[in-house]
Amino acid sequence: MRAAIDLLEFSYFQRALIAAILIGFTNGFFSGFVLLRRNALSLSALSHTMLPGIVVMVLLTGVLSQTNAFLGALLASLIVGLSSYLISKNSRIPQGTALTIFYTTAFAIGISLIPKLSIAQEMDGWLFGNILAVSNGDLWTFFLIAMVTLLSSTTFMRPLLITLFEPNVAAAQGVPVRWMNCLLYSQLILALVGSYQAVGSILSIGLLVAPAAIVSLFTNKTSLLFWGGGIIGALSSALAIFISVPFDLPTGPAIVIVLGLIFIISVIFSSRYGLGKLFSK
Amino acid sequence: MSEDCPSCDHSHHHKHALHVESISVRYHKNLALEDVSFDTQCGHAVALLGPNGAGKSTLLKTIAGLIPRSAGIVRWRNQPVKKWSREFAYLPQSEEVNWDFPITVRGMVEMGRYPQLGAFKKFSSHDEEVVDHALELMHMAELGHRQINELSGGQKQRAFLARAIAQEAHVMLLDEPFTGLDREHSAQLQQVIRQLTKDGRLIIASHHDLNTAEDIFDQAMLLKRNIHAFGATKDVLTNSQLDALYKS
Repeated sequence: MRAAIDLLEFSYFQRALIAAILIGFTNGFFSGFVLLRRNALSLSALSHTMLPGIVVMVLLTGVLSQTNAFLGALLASLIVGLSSYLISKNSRIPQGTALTIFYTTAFAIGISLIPKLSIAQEMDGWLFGNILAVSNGDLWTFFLIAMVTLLSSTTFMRPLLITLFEPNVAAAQGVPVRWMNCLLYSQLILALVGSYQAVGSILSIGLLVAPAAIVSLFTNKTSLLFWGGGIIGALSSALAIFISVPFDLPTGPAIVIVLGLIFIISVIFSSRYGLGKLFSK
Repeated sequence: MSEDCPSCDHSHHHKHALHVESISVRYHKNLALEDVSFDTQCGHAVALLGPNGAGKSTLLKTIAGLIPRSAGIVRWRNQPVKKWSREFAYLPQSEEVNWDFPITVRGMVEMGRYPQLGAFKKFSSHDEEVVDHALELMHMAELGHRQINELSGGQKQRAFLARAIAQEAHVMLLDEPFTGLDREHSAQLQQVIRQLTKDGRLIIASHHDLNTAEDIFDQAMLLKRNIHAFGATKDVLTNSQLDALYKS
């Protein structure tokens, strides 16, 4: 522990810590929506799909920036999402099957294109995350992403919640359900792009799913899913930084492992909604 | 039967009528509803009866504004309803609801206030009172802290009705509210519906059980793409009418 505290003097470590807290909170907050939408698996498809979009965008423009990444990710996920939808509508292939084929293909294209990039090294960080290398500029970007997603989701929290609970009831109350789904979708992509640098494209899903799932084992207060999820996301990301550096573990995976452990402990000990109820009777 | 609408200007009761005029609904090339017209007022409970696929759910959803109509107008209190009205509440079939949603009964009833509140208005003590009142009316005050899946089938229906009351809805559109309820819970829900219509609300519900329809609903509609009969339940549910509907 002593070693970890000494590390606080290094500016790279401070930056990593701030980044972890920002990204952890944003993604943890957002995991509330992922839980309520019950589509954690399609999120994994989305995350894999985004990679080739980013790579192609970098190939075309020669620059790796958050804006490029966001646009590339958005385009790729729209193409994959829409084409799998169209194919399932017009052929005998179920949508899940079409989606899986498309996203794995897209991910494969992304991986095969990475070596062609002049900034392959950096792209590697996007695949597996490299939070210890974030710059001050990156920090501002994380801050901006956090502000945009948190502000837009708290502003539209009520219509978003009604939509997630029961879209028909929402529409009958005048909620523009389609717009709310679009908003959720673009916020998800933004949150994912933001977390790429911390935990990488594959592990980012863990950060976007686990925190609210942990909270949901202990409460029925919907707002706690978001704020509680944010706090758990931030704390576990920070904790992972403190553990990973002295023990020389990769940071991105450490964040996901910490969350996974907290989840396992919670699911065992939650007396109401976890396995605990099996023993308490 | 009272025709008072809840929280309305009481001098205009007679205007609180629902006019459905020549509604048609198309799914792709199929005509799901054809030229459906009927009039009813606050204070009634209307049963929609008909075989599977007759368009009962479609009619409810169309009135709620969930499905675009290809022709026709819905008028409520003499005003055409463009798409949806805050005074209408739609209650989905039980199987369409995600009952695992981490929300308490009270939290769900509070959602009924969201349209009134918009995005920013604070949940006021008035809103709290409306929610309390709605829970009490539906005999759910004791169960407010429960997660919605910890309710029985009948209680779930009452929770949704409480939400509609909190929304200050006049017209409640219920999709198969009695499906899956045992005799005791059916009786409770029946009593609740009677109470709501007595308070001046208009209930329109799709219903399957011809034997109970007359006890619960004072008006009935026989529907099979278009209206075969509509009127007082005892006049509509005659053997010849039913034969014509179910055997044709």
